[in-house]
Amino acid sequence: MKRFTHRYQPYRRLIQASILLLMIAIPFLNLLKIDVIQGTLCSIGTSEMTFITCPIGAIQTFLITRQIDLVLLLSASVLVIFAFVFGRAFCSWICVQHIFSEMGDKIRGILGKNNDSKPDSPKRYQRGRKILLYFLGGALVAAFITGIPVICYICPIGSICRFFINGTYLHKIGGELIILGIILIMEISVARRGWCKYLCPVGALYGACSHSRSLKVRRNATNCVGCGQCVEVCPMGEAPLHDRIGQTCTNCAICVDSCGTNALKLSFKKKG
Amino acid sequence: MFDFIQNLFKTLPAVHLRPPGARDESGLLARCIKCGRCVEVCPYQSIFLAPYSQWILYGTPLIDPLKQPCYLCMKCPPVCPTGALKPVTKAESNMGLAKVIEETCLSYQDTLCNLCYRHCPLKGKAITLDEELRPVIINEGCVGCGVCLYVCPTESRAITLNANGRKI
Repeated sequence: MKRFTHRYQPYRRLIQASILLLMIAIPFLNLLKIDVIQGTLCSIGTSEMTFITCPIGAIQTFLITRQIDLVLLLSASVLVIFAFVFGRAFCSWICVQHIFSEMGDKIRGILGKNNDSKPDSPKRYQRGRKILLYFLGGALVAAFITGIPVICYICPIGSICRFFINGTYLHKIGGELIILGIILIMEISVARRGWCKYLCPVGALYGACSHSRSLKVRRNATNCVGCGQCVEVCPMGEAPLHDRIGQTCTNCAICVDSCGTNALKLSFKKKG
Repeated sequence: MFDFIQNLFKTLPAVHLRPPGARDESGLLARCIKCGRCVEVCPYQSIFLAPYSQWILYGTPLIDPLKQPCYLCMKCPPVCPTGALKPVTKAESNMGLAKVIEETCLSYQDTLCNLCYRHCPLKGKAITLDEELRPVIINEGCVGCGVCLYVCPTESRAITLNANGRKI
């Protein structure tokens, strides 16, 4: 990494850290009867109303009960609309699991496993995207058949938030860390960013919501010198150099920051 | 859809209630997304999330009336985003049914004690005193919040609570 411009990463780290701190602080503030904001990343609101609900939880509820609740529909559509506009930006800018996955990436680097600078081959890349969508579909079918929201049991985002709630209210460390531990061990030993790239149903939904006009890393071919730095730094196996930026791209903008010639930028426009 | 899968894993906790307005077990399991909003809104810290040891019930809200009963402030049903807890009034919050054990109740042993009557959040609609000042549960009025169980001064608690068909 030669010329690292640091355009987006400081802001991204700031937002990530403040969301994690918020998730730790909300149970404490509510314990002290300061209830301006309540909830976790599964559902956020005040003591009177709900602003945002996890769309995966809402879809499972709709599938199981076959009833549409207006408040649930409106609060769940907030993050879906966010994904329509900003693509999978929820993952790298808001998600609490992403912070731990990036720590896992660092551990991979220390263990000397992070040296695969090649992007995924097109075949492997297509297969990864298929696994991601099949896992989401399969989990939704499982929820429909069993009548329980199965994704909520394995969701690391909810588990981390529940870990803070249980720690604050029950004063004990729950089993929630098991899920985080399994995912971290899998990501360190088996596949880099394996959960986010191949399995996460939440990310798969947001990826499926993004389209050609939503926020995306776009390459200006006249500025590009083809150094391949962007491909080397991408943790998700995308290849901005070959204009292959798909639905698994989380808009983390690491490639934009690493580009020495300003050839890459985040924009809504298709060309230019 | 197929309730047998839920029944397969159902290992009910020994001493627990559901929050007021909760649907029946399969309806609650179907809707609860384990967000913890009810835990955070409860001003008495009565509600907690079921631990992993409860398997299929993991993450769903529970109340332990021996530690902290429900005082029927009715703040938790409106915050539930998926309607696992229905917004209901105090009298409709069907959580269970209390029953006085006359063998151990102090009032039935000629000692004056009406703690359960005085602390009942439904004020005379769920527990009344008969002509000898002994507590009597009104089955139609009692919602099973567990306050009487919590305040009972006897060692073994002279009140049992039947939590919606589940014996406590």
